[in-house]
Amino acid sequence: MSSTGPSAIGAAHQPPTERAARQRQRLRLIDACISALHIHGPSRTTVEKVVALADLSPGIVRFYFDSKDAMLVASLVHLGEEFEQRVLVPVAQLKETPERALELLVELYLDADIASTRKVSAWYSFWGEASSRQEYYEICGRQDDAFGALVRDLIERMIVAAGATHLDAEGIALGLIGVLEVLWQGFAFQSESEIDRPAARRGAMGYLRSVFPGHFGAAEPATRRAKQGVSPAQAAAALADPCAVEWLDERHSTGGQRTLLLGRADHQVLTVLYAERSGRPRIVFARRATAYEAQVYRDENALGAD
Amino acid sequence: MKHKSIGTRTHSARIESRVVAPAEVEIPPLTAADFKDVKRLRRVPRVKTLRRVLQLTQRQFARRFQIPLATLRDWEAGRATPDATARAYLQVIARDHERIAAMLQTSESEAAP
Repeated sequence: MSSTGPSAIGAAHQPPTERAARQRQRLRLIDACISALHIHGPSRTTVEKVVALADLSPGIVRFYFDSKDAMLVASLVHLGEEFEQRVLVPVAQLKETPERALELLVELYLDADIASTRKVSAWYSFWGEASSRQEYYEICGRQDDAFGALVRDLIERMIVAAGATHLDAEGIALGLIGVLEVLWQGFAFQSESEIDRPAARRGAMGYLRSVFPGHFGAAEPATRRAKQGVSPAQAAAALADPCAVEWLDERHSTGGQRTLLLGRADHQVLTVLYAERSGRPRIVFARRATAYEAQVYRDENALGAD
Repeated sequence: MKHKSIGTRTHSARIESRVVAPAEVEIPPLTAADFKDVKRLRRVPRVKTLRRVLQLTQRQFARRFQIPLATLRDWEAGRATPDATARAYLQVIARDHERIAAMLQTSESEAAP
């Protein structure tokens, strides 16, 4: 653990409890600094704002950090070390199959503790200033290099394990890094309650599953339902859409008359097949409309359309 | 002439809450060919769909939106198709039927002696 500032001086002579207390206080400042970075960004983060968040006196900061810059760098180093300890090390140490290691990587990378709105947004705020701050650039860059190397290694091993030697490891690793990055960026702009981590995980696993068919488990039924099927309430809402467009389905002679409907429910167009039984519609099948079907619905509802 | 109510119930409450379907009734993606071929899909006149959603009889619909009953019946039976003006009117009803009905009702009562 690298130490910044005077706290390192004479640390060996301090009783262990005192050292632990110092360490806790330092972490408290770093944690407050990350919050300040999330709220204000690096350039507008001040020592005053950090001590206010940490509920400590301004003098304390001077004891641990020489300057605001030193405090910011310490926070960035802390984020990097945490990422390394909580994501990179466990994945690299997993001696099982590369398939399992990649699953763990996705899980840890998107973990609520590591990829919280606060930390992700603080991380990106450093990246935003990395072009003008060599120190940030080196720390951020080192972090990304270590992560990239791990992903490439796992993908290479996965390609061998899956016998898919026609695949380009470099490109696929880049794809996975891109998928994970974009999910992180989404987290940075969402509040904690808005983040749908299971959906993020499904998205990342969907990428891996598409590249390595037959691996990474089958899609969960819930995923398929979310993709295709709709709830009875949604189907009913589409049926009650005054702008709905209907056709009598003449393709199947059996089972009585069926009506095909394109209707809107919760801002999305649904394709519903229903039969009329004693004057009541009975839904036979419902799914989300394809892009073409949704276009048909919109065209039919454009004023002035034929 | 005053109407009792212009509020409409929707079908949703009465639809059986079950969307279970055997695999053979899944709807494959529909193509332009499906929509063009009347032997596959025969278009339901718009006004008929609209009337089903609003749960009105032909007579009630005709009265509420001041459309001649015979014209409405011809449209629904496919004996006639609404012209551009009528189509636009039906679109407007579909978008906000309650306001249209309320406006027509107001103008009616204003016109009354």
